[in-house]
Amino acid sequence: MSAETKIAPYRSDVRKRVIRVALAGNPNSGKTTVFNALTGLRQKIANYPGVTIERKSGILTGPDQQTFEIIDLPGIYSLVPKSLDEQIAVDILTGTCPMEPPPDLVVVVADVTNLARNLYLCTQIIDIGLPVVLALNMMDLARKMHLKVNVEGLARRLNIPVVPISAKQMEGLDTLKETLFMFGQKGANGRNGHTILKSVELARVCEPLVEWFQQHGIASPAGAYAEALRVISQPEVLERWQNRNGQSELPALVEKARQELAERGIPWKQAEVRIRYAVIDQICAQNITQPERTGGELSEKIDRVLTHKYFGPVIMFLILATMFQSIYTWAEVPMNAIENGLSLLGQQIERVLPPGPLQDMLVNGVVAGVGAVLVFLPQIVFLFFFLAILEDTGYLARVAFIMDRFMAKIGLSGQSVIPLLSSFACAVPGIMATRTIQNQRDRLITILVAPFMSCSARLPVYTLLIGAFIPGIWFGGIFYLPGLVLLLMYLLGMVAAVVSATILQKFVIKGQTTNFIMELPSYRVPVWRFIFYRVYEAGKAFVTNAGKIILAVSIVLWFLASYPKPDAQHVQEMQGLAKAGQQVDNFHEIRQSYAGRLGQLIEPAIRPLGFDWKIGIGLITSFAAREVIVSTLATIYNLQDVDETSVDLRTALQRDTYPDTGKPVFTPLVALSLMVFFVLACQCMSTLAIVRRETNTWRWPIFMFFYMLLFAYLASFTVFQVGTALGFGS
Amino acid sequence: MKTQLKSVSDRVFSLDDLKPGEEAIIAGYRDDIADELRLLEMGLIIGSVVRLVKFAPFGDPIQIRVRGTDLSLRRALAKSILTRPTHLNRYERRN
Ligand SMILES: Nc1nc2c(ncn2[C@@H]2O[C@H](COP(=O)(O)OP(=O)(O)OP(=O)(O)O)[C@@H](O)[C@H]2O)c(=O)[nH]1
Repeated sequence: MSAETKIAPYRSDVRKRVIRVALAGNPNSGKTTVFNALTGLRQKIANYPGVTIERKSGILTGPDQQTFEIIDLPGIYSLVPKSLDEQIAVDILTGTCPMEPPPDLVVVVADVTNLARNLYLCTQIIDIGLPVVLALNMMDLARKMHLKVNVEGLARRLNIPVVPISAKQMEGLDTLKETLFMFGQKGANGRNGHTILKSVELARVCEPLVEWFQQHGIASPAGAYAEALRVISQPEVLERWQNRNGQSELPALVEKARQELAERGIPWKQAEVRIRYAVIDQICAQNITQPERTGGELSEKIDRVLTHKYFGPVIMFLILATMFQSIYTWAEVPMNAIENGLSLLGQQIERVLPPGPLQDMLVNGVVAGVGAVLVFLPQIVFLFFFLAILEDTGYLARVAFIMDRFMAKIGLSGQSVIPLLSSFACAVPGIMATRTIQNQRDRLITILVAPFMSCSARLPVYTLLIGAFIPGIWFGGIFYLPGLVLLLMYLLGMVAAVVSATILQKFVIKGQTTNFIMELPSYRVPVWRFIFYRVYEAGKAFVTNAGKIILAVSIVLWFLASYPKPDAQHVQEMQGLAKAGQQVDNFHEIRQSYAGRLGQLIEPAIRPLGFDWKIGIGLITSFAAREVIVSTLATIYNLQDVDETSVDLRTALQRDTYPDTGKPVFTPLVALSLMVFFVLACQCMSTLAIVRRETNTWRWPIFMFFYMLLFAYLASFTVFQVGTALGFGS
Repeated sequence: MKTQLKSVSDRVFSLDDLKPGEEAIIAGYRDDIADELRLLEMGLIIGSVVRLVKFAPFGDPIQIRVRGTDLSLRRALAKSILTRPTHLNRYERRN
């Protein structure tokens, strides 16, 4: 295509218009791979308004600067949707989506090694009258399997362009692009509504209906055949026509067709599937020569070990343990580097800027906030690196296969296992990992229960409180009480997750439990390029969306803890009193900050849990991240350079008493109640920010916050009140 | 559907009654089946050959192969899928 090509005047408007090309196909047919190959990194990821489903689009520029917007639709098996993401894809294709008009052209990406099932969708899309290009993907596998495809034959029979490609090997993509460019210049050629359905004898039962539809507004034979099949198999479709057309002979015609099918032993509900598959089987028989059973053989051999009755679970345990162990240890290095780097930056700012509110805000608000965002990145990067490998090799589906038995008991599926396990490290990457869950209902429930898993940020809190208040008693030389309590906290989180999953399914997220039908893809060698994409995308999504919220909340929290500043006169007065040897309020400075005031404000509410206002401050500031309560307590007790293992901090906690009664603020029971609160409450702005990002609405993070708060409050209340009643209060 | 099954009813098994590695032909679905349409769309139509590849390590779900694809199905669902032995009708096997 040369630059001098003459541009005919009638084309000028076409050239300016963006041509919208949708990629449709079965899950796992390689759509995303084709999408990446066509658009490179020029991608835009947004959400469809109000739903959790991502809209991925990218730009492809043709010769003559013509612009093609490529849209990656969610994977579908047919135009009868079963879930929300399928619904969106189907609505867009059928032109019933309020948010997006139907595309100008559909590229159906089909896995050539499983052509029949892929053609089912393809013929449905052809029949609704959209221009279709069929991209026969995975030709490399077909060659390996000695599977021969008559591409021209298929193209002739389906009456659409058919392009053999191998997206992974970047083969045939130029031809695919050229086909798109050609469409951009000429529009669809030769589409005359020709239907392939007519070619099977069985389709005759549709004919009276086809005639009726052609008289009632569906001109193209393909459209009329497709509608006839739908009206026979789906009662809703018949109802829609009846509502639109009132009295007509349609119901009688449908009844007659159904009867004819019944005579041939075909239930009417299966009409569309049976007739389409009859045609497709015919097409495949004519255009594909499948050698004696091949394919899947290597996979089956690998599976003999990896999903073996005994080796399978053991190997899975080892793989996952290694994976999480590496995430843990590898992420620590960059996390420390980030922390050190930011503290150096803070020191630098302190050196350059004069002390004052600006310096304080930059160092303790902004830099700390940026740190709060960045500190998650290593974990996200490593988790997604492993997740992408697991998914691309096909092993992720095996984990789901092995674990489904247990997850089914709580109404979820095996696909929730990895996100929930990841949440033991940190709920943020765990929640991001829920993207691998197909079913939207399962995904939402998993997101909502993931933060109950005791993450690594809770560990410092447990360490401090257990170290200070749980006596190191051995039972029978085997059980060590502090260890038992720690275990109990982890178990409590898991029990809470199970209980909540059950409650949520009963009362909040009803929806039908779809049966867990999952494809087990053949094992494949991962492509590093795509793994890089996945990691990059995950990191970017976190920083650009959740990052903003986390930074803003960090600054607000800094403000609450630092303002208003005590006035100089008051400070002098206090110092005077102290010098004179009088009783002073050690906590005056923190007491009159906004955080302190908030702590005092909520004190009546948290007293029944055994907490005083100082713990209240800790609850507020630890919203930034749970472990912040440790440094907050250190600040409150005027200790420098301490962490959760410091004896100083433990002693300070043990010594603190209520000024009015002289009783200790912290007792083992209070510590227990506080730990239970930390297990259950959603004390983590980053989790809420990522839930906002993943569910695309504030509704779920807000719900999550209050739901978990209620759970935590009730549990801590019970622990403290029952404990006190039983005499453990002191 | 019932009449169709009657002739071979004594030879009809649920899909999850097959032994690992065993092949059979899909004979129909029980009336109480959920997700019938999805199974059909995925190619589990009457007459298709299906192979029970294996049971998951903890007994549920099962792995089946139909039309060259491996699927994982829960046993509760597999119970509602009826199959008959392959040797009963060689003609349909080719379809
Ligand atoms: N051998 C081979 N593998 C491919 C080819 N194209 C894609 N794959 C692999 O097929 C798998 C699925 O590809 P995706 O691009 O994620 O498929 P998808 O259709 O987007 O799947 P969903 O995201 O589940 O809808 C990946 O492991 C790819 O590496 C190909 O041409 N040849």
